Amino acid sequence: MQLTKKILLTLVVLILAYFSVEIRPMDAVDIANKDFDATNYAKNFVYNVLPTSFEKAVPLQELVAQLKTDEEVAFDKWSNAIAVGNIGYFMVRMSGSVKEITEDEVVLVTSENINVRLQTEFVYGNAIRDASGLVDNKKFQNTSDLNAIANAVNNIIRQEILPPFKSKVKLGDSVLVIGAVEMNRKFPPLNDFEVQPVQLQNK
Amino acid sequence: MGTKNLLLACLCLCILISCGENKTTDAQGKKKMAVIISTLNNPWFVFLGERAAAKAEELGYEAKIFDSQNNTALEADHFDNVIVSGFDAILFNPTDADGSIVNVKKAKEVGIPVFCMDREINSLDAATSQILSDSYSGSVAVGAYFAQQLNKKGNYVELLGLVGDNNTWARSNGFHSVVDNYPDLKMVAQQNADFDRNKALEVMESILQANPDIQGVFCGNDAMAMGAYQALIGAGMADSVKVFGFDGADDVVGAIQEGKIAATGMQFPNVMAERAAIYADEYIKGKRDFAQKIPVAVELVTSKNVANYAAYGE
Repeated sequence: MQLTKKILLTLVVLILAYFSVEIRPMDAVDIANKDFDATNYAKNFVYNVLPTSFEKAVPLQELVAQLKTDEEVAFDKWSNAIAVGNIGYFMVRMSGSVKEITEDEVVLVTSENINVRLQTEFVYGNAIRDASGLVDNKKFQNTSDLNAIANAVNNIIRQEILPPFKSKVKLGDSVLVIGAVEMNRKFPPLNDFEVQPVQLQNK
Repeated sequence: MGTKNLLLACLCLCILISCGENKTTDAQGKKKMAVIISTLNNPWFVFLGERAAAKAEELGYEAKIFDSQNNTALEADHFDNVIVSGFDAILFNPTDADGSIVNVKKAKEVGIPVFCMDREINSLDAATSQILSDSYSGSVAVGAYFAQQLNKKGNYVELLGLVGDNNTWARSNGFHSVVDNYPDLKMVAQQNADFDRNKALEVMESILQANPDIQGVFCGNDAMAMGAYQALIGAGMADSVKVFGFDGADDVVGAIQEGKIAATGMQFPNVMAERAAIYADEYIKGKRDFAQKIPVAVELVTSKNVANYAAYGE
């Protein structure tokens, strides 16, 4: 009788333990909102929403001139960023001739002798998502959704926008670019810019 | 038995509510802000807590810091004390994204606003606002630099922080969103070291015995990066393995200047702490519309720009 009691008690404890504990592998921990389709959002953003901001993209030489005069004005006028802090993102336009092609970037020099390093491999981060100011963070309570948008947008640039350009570009080509620039307001560059391309045209 | 528990819960709730309604100012007529910090055993959190308290005092409040020692039960005790003592707001650095929710809700029920700093809780309606480092984006930047420094190939180790902390996964996921695009970068070991330097040293020593052929180590915080670096020195591998951290701690900023650590993601605890205190002050003065989550940018610090930085973004 005593033994039966002990067995029953053990069974109850085991059943309770089984239903009260969930063991998941460490790599399965994910706080992303599964209902949000970042890929579709990014497709619409890159091909339909972002082009509406191209007309407002600041010419690089104008941005440089303002940075030299008063960088705070430049940031207030043209930069956007979802996060609070020193980092601002600018949507810029420029043209230049190709002076160097490496595995990860295409280097242009503009007529004002500004060095522009077009990123053709390391297109990551929030520059393209934030530069236009067209992603409204108030619509996304989960930061994971905003991260997913940045990832999906960058993937489209790397996988769909850049390959046709990379396969054709040659030294000396004249290229028209619209792209996003990340800048720290405490240390803004003046003659060397890293640009994440959004639209590329050989002139 | 169930009725007994229900009665007990009601009694506790009544006590909490009556205590919460009885908020008082201190002897000098000042209102009070509580600063509850996950652990004061890590200089980063000490800095966060001290800055939050300093800003609260600057705004005219009495401030008191509580150390949860990474223990949600102790954290719960602090919340009970804070509620009973009639504090007007809580500037909160949670110990656990899930485990801390109940504590925040307890304060909310009695009308005390809670502003999370740096660490997030997995609830969108418990805290008044959450001011958080953009850990994911910061780790994307570290990940891109990692891939560039290793020339997109090689074996590497990842040391994770506390498994229950969202920052652990935000940093890991951000890092992997970049490095996983390069199949020649192979992660040979991934283990948690709880954001702790000594544990990271032990874990790394053990990993190196099984995996001596590595070129990089990504750590979820700077304390672990220093622990990993120490293990690499012990194994005679410090010159051949690049170590990457996250936080912007004093010793790592120095180590980057000396070429010992490759990079870190600089967080700005001062910005988070001050914003939390300012928002709490605004809440006390009547403001109610706060964004639920406010990301604070993280900056990549490498040997190229380290001269521009001091510890914790100072």
